[in-house]
Amino acid sequence: MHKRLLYLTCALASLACVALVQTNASAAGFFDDVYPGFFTIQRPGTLNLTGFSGGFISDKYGTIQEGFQFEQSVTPYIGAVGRITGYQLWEGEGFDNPLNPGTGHQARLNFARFQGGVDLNLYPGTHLFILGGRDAGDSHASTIEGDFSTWLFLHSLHPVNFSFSTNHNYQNSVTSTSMDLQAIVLSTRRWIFLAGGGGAFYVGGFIPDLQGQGGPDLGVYYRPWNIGVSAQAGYGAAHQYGQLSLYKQLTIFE
Amino acid sequence: MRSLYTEKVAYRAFSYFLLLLLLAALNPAIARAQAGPAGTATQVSGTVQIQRGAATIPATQGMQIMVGDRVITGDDGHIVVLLTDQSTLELGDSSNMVIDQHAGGTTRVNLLGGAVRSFVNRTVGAAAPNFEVHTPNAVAAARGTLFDTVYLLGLKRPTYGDIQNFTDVSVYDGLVNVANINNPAGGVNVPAGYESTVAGTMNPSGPGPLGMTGAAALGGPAGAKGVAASGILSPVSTVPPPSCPVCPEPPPPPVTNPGPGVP
Repeated sequence: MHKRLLYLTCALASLACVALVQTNASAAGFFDDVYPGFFTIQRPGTLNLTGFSGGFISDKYGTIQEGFQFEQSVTPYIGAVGRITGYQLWEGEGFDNPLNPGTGHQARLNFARFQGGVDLNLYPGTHLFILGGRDAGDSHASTIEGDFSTWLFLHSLHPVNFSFSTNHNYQNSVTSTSMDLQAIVLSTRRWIFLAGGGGAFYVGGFIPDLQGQGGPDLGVYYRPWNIGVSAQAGYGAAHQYGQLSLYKQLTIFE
Repeated sequence: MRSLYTEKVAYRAFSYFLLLLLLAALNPAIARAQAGPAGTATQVSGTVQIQRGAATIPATQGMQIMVGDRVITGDDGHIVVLLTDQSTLELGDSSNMVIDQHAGGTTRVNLLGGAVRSFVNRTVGAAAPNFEVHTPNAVAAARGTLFDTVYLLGLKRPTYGDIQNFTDVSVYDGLVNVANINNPAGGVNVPAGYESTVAGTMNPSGPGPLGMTGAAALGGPAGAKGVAASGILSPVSTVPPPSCPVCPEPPPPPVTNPGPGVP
């Protein structure tokens, strides 16, 4: 009886070991399939530079931002990212064009935001940035931010991009998130045309309830110059608003 | 004693054998007579060699390229061949191609490695040219287009498992049908502005926008010289838009005068 129990226990233990090895092997196989050469230094390395500027105008406030972002590859799946952004912020009702403010409106706040962190290439076409940073100037906030972007249906005539960015400001305790969903409407040799919708919502700190805004957006990208323009308009807590973003991308193979 | 019939049969068999030998000897000569000029090398830079039969000669600008020639470029090599029908073949660095056929409106190029950009000239009023680029695992057939074909061996790509040979076709103008060489009926039409990949023995992927699917191309999405690493272009900025309110703490409340009599 004891021998049979012993044999049975040994058989079960062997089976469990085989199953464990197989699971690990298949997990390792899956990992190697999705992330071949995970710990290999990427050669040639790439340095992506993005110069950007943009503006937001609404009935409640207006913002202009400008700066640049760099992404340095380390391995094919992990890299370093840094961003420097300058902000000019105006507030007021019945607001004027912040690029040409009228009498009584002036830039209330001017500050720069310095951020650095890690770039995770989770899947072909999917990136996650995790950044920490600090402001200088009229703001002294520490911030933490997560930016996510993924392309779906890449092997189709109309791929779709879903992106969101969440930022928490430790000075005013406001957490703000912007989201966007866009599809490529048309791709030609030189142009890419996008259409979709997006918006933002924010809560915390001096914002008592969840607030936000949203609307449709259009985008265009010119391949020979690697320049893109995106425009959005809509309505929300800040009443009607308009938003424009411009960006120029440059990739350097090291 | 052998019969007369047996002798006749033996004589005929021997005659047929001699005839076959003669045809076999003449065949290469017939083939060489049919192989004519394919075009001219209009641009040559870096290390470029032409294998013609048993001879290997360096390519020079202006030299004639023949049907059957193997064109091999080194790490810094680059060559543009202007075909007799005004189509062009631009071969990138570290590449290897053979012009198998070029006659009667039919052109067939065999790309054994690296990248070639094909411009297929189409004369107004004339029949559409039959232009094909073959790689070890794919066929790209075009009708008056501009497209890149890249064949890479020995590299792995994410999500493709152990497959290490890929044919990438990027179309800039016109329409190209891309198929696995073992399944010509399973081809997909790739329009201008899109690219497709044939991985190993798989059927071609659905066409995706240029520079976004990881396919390699001559020049690459960022305009780098040679065959670019298969990166992914994202035409959407990863920088958050300016709509996120960036207000620091709100302004302090105004200080009020407590009034007379209040300490």
